[in-house]
Amino acid sequence: MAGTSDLKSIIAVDFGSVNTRAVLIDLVDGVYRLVACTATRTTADDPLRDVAVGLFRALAAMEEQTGRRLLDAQQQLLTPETRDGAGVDALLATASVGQPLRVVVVGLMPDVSVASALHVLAGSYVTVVDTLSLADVRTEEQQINAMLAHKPDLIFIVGGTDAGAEEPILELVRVVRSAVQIAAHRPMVLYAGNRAAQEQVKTLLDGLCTLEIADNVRPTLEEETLGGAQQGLAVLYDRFKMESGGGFDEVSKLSKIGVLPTAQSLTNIVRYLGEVTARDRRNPAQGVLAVDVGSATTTAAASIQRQPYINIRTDIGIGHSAATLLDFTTPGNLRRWLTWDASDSEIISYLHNKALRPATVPQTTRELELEYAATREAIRVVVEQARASWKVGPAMPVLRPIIGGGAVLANTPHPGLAAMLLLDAIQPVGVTELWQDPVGLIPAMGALAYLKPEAVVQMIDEGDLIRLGSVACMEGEVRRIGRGGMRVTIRLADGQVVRRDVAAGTIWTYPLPPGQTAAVDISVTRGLTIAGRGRVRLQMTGGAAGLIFDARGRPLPLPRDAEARAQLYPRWAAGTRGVIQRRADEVDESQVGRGELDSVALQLEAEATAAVPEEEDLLEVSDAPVRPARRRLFGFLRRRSALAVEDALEEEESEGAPVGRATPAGLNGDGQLTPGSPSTKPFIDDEELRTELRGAKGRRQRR
Amino acid sequence: MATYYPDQTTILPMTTIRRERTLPPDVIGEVTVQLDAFVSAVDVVARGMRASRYLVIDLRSALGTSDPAMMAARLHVRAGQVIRKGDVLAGDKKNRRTLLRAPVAGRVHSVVDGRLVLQTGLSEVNVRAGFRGVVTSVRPRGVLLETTGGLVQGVWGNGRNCLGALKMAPRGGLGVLEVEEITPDWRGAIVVSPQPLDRLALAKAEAQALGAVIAPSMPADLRPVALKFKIPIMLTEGFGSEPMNRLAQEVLESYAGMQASLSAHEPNRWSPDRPEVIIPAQADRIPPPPARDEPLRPGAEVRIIRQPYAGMIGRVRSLPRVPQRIENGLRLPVAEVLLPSGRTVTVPLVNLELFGRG
Repeated sequence: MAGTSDLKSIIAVDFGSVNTRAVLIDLVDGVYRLVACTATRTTADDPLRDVAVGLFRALAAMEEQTGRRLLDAQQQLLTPETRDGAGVDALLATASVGQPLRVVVVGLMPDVSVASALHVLAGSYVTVVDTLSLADVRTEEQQINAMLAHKPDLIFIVGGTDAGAEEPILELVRVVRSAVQIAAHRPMVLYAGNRAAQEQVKTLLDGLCTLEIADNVRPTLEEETLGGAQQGLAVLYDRFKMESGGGFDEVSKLSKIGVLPTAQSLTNIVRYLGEVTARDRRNPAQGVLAVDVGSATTTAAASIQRQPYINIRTDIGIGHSAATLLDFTTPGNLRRWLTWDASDSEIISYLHNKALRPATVPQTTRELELEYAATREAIRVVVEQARASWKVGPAMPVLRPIIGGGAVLANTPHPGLAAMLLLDAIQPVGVTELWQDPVGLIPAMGALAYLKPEAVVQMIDEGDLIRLGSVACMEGEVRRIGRGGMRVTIRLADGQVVRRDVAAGTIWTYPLPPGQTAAVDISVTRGLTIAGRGRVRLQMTGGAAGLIFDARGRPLPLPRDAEARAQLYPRWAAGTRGVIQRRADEVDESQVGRGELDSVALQLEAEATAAVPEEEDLLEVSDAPVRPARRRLFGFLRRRSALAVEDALEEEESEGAPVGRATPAGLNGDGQLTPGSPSTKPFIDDEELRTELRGAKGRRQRR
Repeated sequence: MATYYPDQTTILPMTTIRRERTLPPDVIGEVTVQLDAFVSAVDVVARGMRASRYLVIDLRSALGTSDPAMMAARLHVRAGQVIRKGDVLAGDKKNRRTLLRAPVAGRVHSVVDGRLVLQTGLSEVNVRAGFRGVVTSVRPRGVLLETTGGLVQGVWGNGRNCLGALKMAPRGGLGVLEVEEITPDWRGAIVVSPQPLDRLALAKAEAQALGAVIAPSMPADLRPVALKFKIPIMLTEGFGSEPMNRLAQEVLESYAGMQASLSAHEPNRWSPDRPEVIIPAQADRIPPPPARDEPLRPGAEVRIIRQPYAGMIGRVRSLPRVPQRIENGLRLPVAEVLLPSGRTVTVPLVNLELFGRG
């Protein structure tokens, strides 16, 4: 395989519970771009139980789509890329499919080291089956029995500060040793406790089980360092995947970084975007949020005030985990998103059937509504749970961008509907941007960041993640739909001016294409706000949906009466299509349906009157992107990057490839992703990264 | 368009059925049958012991020494040895007061780090054949069994198993069956109800001591009730009110009165076991096993598993090369499926299943 600096063409494969998605990333005019993508069914379950089969089917489909030869005569991946443009330089693998790692956490203090261990585990697909600590009142024998009964895959030992006593943690390690010796299936052990006890831990456990030693998660009581333990966990996760069979052993050998948890990739990208957002002084946003709605797992990864947070729910999804979604919400909560009065039985049956046949899709409009109701609730529940840990108070922070991933969001009848699902479920505030990851590019980018961070920066800057559009969200409770709302003035680059009153309780989209910007003035009715103000002046960027003006207020006015919902929701959906354009001075009553919407039964309490906002209420916001030298913002990955690629550096450099041209993937008129064409491409010398990595390797060897 | 490999729910009137029977991972035991042996459904093919807990005895404090050689010399049991309560485990036999006796019956698991580990609360685990067949392979912890006959897989089961004669309920389903019509030959039978189950039908099944029920569907809110039932329940279509698909009904009807083996496994994505009924039967010549991982091709007989055509069986007429927009606006890879009525409908590929025919 090629060394890191020689990586020009990469295939990244993400193994989801239902789909195996492969993306081809290649140099296009000297810039890394998404060139092609394919998806096939994951082959982790019966009858094959071998994910590698799905991988090679995806590669064959990509060959068919692009005309580029990726497999040799023995149907093995061609790597590195040949002079004639066949094969690729590297394959990267991420996975969310498979049984979560069953973990027993062993620590000293529940609120200190054990809490840090849980922070480490939050970024991966794990189920914590038991916790042993000094607060545990069970006898040693009971603790051993508990560990054996849970049949853990991993025992994660933490505890003690680096300057503290060693004996308490060693006592726990001895208990673990006893359990490991007895266990029929020996668990792996990750130790990230008192550094001074590391050698004794090795003596006690080495040879008995797979042992990984990492830096102490709590070197002092005040300090929490998770990086080393996260890295150790990633190594053991990869090993777990390899040993659990199902073809991951073969995939892991092919992949330059082993098999990385998909959620870890998501976290990497969100952390990077969080750094970018934090440096953008013109656009005050408090954080970035990415939600990935899968069949078995829903993940919310956020960077709030540069602090990363991740919430992975392996029991919430809209396929395999559709039935267990009901453990966290109610049929009534799903019903409020439907335009008819569905019975509890109908809703429960739908979810259970979806769990039985997770790969199927709705064909009728009625079932699509049920599917989207489940999607909204899955996102809402997971984001609400995630918010509890964000240290920004109870109010929803301003998030920009908000990224939606997962097949259900990727394939909607029109991009505006994907935007509305995110808006409904998250109910963001202020001015935000909605992005979409329709092909599973984020898992690829998050993995690629370890090897080629500049490639990720380039792909994000070039818009390989689809921009659904900029959204202005009106805050405050809308008590009567149609009364008051937003007054919007859009000044386009060609001088055209569009004015629009968006009635309270409705949503409207101006179809500004991706990449185009417009100056937008918005004033809102007294009693309501936007970004905390009565009037804002913005630079907004278009997208696949357009410029979205969400005047529905917060929280959303969801009618209890099914008839009212049947009137209102189709209008909301129509309001996100962005297909109706009017003259500059025209107010579109048919769209906002002011008169008709008066019949919607809502609480009618507040009197809202249109008002011209005070000048001091004016807030100027721009969502034009800033482009600092961003590669360094992936600094948080550097240590792992160095470890991951050091072997590659020792390999012979591949011969320079001839210069050619490829074309990036793009959007067609339906907002669907179309493949580009890969080709050979110019050689990019990445001497700076090479030097950094050699330095990292040298430092590691000295240690 | 790339080749698509649909899911499969096997429904075949005559096939070769192979199933593995193995000891659970936490059971210590052995295989009890030999290669080529004929077994009945109730025959035990592997047997073992499972410990409910481990007892850890600290030999260092009990024997008053931490010298490994001294401890080994005073140990009177070995790993794997079954002991009774009161048996001597360790100590100096010349000095009865120093003898360490087993506090409970069990099995010595190991002696490590000066600790004697006893497996206690042992219970016997018997793995039965589950259907009439022949042992075609013997492995360290299990066997491979084979038979010929009919096979109908379902989508959901309540986790119970049984053997019994197949009996067809009236066309109207179990719900319309009057109590007076349930004669003694219904007791213990695996009753096939072509119509969905409701609360009344479930109650009737249990009260009349039916052996098991195979039904197409039932409302999902009855799932907790069905899980508590002692008799096996298997659904062929899912939750809701779908009638049974034509093929499953035909296969089950053709075997009415014959002995069948129902394993109503509750679906678990980490387990390969599916709910199924096996009806062993002689074949004129050895039929092929169910096809697996077959690609979807024009001409293939398929079952549609989502509304508005759920449960219908048709034949793939064509596979359009590009994704099509379906009635709810989604744009998806689809198949054109010819229904028995002569109508051709467009169905997303992921909403089609194969039956296991090659």
